Amino acid sequence: MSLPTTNPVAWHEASSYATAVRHQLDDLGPDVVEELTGGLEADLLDQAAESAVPLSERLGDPGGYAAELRAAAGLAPRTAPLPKEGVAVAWRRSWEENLATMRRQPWGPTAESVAVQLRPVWWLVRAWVAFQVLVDVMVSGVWNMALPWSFGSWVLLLALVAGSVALGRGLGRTLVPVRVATLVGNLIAVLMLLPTLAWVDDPPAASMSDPMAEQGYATTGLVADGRTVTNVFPYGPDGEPLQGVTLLDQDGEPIAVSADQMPGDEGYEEGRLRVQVPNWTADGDPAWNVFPMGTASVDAEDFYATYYTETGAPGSGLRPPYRSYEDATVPRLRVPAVLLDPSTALRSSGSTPSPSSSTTPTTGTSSAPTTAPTPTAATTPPPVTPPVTPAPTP
Amino acid sequence: MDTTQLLKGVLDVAVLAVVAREDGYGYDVVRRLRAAGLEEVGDASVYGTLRRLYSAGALTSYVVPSEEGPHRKYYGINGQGQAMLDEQRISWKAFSQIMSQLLEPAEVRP
Repeated sequence: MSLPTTNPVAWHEASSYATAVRHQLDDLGPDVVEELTGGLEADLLDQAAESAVPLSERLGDPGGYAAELRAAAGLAPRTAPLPKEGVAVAWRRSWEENLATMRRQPWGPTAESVAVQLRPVWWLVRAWVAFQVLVDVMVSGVWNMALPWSFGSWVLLLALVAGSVALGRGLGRTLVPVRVATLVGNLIAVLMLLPTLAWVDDPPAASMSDPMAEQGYATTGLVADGRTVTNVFPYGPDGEPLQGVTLLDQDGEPIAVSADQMPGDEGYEEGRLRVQVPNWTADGDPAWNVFPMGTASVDAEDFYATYYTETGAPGSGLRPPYRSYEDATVPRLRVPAVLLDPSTALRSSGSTPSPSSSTTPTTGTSSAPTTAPTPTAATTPPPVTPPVTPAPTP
Repeated sequence: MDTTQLLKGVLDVAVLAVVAREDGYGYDVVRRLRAAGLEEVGDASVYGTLRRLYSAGALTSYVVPSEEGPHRKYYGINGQGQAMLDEQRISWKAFSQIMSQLLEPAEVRP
């Protein structure tokens, strides 16, 4: 006779009833309990397969069943008080009771059969979640949606699917550790499913596919020690502030501040805002990795009206005049940003920068990010070419 | 009359008789007892009886593992159990004969 193990609901019912009976016998030695209840699951399963009436209704409560078992086996009735039910057992019993209540509803049998038929879907889903967790935690270290990208990752995913399906079909379910591990794994999978669903709803921006990033203008911002950096003030070896310094990282990628900086409340004063003004490339794009950026006090209404325009420039009057420089290694600049508000700089030269001031172009050097001309050649030192040996500052 | 009360006294021999015909696991024995007409027999009573007969040395027991589901525990009769069954069979025959005679309707005296 074949075991009706293909019905997982019956199996759960049988095993939870057997567990409850064993609980009632736990004042006896484990050997005696095993002798009394060995094979009980198989017997209960047979019984469950015979009728749709739940076992607990046919057999009565596990306490009475255990007492009958004890009496028939010639053992004394239980005198020791029943130890407090473990959380897992109590939880499981309440689950079984709820399940039995649901089964009695008119829609119960249909819902149950649909749920049972959908189990394979869950097996696949939890394998997918396990794949995400393994890849993110063990490989990439980034909490992100991962698709199989290599032969090895495909093998991992297929192995997880095979394992999940095998567990779902009943592999090892007579072993308590396997059942506990499966339960815990299922709970984790349900919890992990929530962030996974969030990804589907709103995929996280991948930096590689960001059009701005591909152009070389990162939008993710610049951070130092956990603080957001909104501006950088470089100084040359002579102790003088540098202008138009382009920052690149070890891969030649721009080190750029975020282009999405909205002025904070503290920048608002009598209808005017203090905003950051980026430097501009020869192609007319804002260069968020060229420093220092300028700041400008602009009309708040105008600013918000133009903030989301294509250029991103806060106010048309702020665009500096066009100048271009030959440089092979860094984006070509029109002119450095204008420091309309010198108080924002750490050290001000005391000059009065103006967008229309004459500038002194410099040829780029190949050894370092370029130094660009200063806006006012008359009042600030000439642009600094990085010296081979730094000269001590007086 | 409540047959469950009667069953209590004869369950041992009934179980022995069933197992003597063929080895069986717990619920299989229950089923055979019910099929024979002892419909009131309780599962747990049968399992407990099997265990007690085993402890008393009247039965052998072996586990048949299953790859798909929980293992089954089979019981079979041994020499001691067979002797016990023979003895109880004689006792039962004598007892039931007495009871049958006792329960015969009394002859109507004129």
